[in-house]
Amino acid sequence: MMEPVVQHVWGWLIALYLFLGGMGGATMIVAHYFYASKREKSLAAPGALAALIMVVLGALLLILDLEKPEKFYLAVIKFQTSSWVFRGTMILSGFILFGALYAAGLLPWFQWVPWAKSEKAMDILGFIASAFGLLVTTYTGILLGVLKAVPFWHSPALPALFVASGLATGIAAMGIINAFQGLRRPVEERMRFVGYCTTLSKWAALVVGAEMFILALYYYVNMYGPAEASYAVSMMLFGELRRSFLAYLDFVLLGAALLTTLYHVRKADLIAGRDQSVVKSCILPLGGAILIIIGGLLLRRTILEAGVMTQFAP
Amino acid sequence: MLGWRRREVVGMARYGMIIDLRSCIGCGACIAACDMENETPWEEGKRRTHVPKFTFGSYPNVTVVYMPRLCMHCENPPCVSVCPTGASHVTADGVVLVEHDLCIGCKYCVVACPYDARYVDERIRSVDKCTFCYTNRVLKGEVPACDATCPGRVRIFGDLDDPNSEAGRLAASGLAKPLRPDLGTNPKVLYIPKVKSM
Repeated sequence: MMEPVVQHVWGWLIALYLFLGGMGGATMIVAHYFYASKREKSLAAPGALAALIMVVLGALLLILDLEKPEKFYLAVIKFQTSSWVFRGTMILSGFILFGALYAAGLLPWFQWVPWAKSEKAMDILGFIASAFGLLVTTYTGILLGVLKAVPFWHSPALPALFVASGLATGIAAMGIINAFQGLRRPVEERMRFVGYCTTLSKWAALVVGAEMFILALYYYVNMYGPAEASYAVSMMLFGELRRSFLAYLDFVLLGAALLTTLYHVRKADLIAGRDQSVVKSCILPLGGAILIIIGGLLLRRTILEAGVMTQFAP
Repeated sequence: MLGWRRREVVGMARYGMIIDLRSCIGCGACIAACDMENETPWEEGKRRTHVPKFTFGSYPNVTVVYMPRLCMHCENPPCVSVCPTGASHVTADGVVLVEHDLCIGCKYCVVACPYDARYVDERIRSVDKCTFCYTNRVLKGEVPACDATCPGRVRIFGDLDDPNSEAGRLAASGLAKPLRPDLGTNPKVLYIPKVKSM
């Protein structure tokens, strides 16, 4: 293979955008779960708000990455439906609109909005916002996955990997919110949050397991794929991207291991009838959640940096 | 695809270029002519055309090939379908152009082009690429600057559908081949190989 050409136009800003989009979309899904199944507004409200902030921040970074940020509106006015940038703009707009309506209905400062009082209306809004959340999380992978010019990205496994990573970071983000909400509550209410923490830890560990499985398949198939894709994998495993790829693996696996350990410690405590402190059950998993979130960002950055373009020789 | 259909309706030319790798000596006159004609940034990686050198084999059986590169003006251009604003478009003659006023600089087309033919021109805050000198020369009846300057007649511009043109004859002969036909882009820049394994 000749000297590889790696895409160089998308850097940290786009990596951050892909990461925030994935995490924000998934956070909305988890936040809505707590409202729809537990009617737990103290988690759903800050979760929906955090999800909204993440996606809005991501969209701002996307605009900032444009050569002409002041003309971003042209993507909507002069739209071309075949472009995933336009489709993404529509998905982000839908998410921000319905996410804002949903968050408003949950937040205490906006309880005057008419839909806040109707649980049915909130359920519908939450479902639509979550559906857009799933679309945002998936779209960040599709944006890269449709590009034939980068064979390493051009795989259905990439959107799947981004969805798994987005879900893991979204659950981790909700874990952090849960820990802080638990600490703010009186002692008698804290046990509820300890329970949520256990649930979220279990989910995060399971989703990270799925992420690792998809990652392994994605890399294995690409190793035997086109020369450019195979080169991209070797860059990550043995080349210049080895450090950031290993850092991603370390962060995510260590985070998941920490959450799994604490989940089992809590189960053992329950069986033995020992004290369930919030510090032990909720604050310690914070470390695991933060590691998973940092890992999610490193994954996006490493994948972007491994964008080896198609090669040809005379 | 849109450009192709329009051409059938209007009955216009299908502009393309044949590049004869057997004759290229890598003098770089085409790069200089293009840079002067189109006032490109004159920086490595920010040129509308460039001529990389490839070396095959080992001493004493060595072959050196200079391979002029430019936008392939594909019939099915991935850069056009990914453009969110329609800034990247195909003319009725099948030439792929970028309308700088409409380009917001998302750089999606730069990553989508399998031939690495696009770059960001920071001076105009837009993506830029080879235009076949369409507005400044071709519409006035002249050939692109690189073709006009090439001392070895390596670059042969013309209507690929015109059996009376040199480009049309070479395209029909089957001697000239596209790069990476497996990508399904149907490039209109075709290469006559120097080595058999193209």
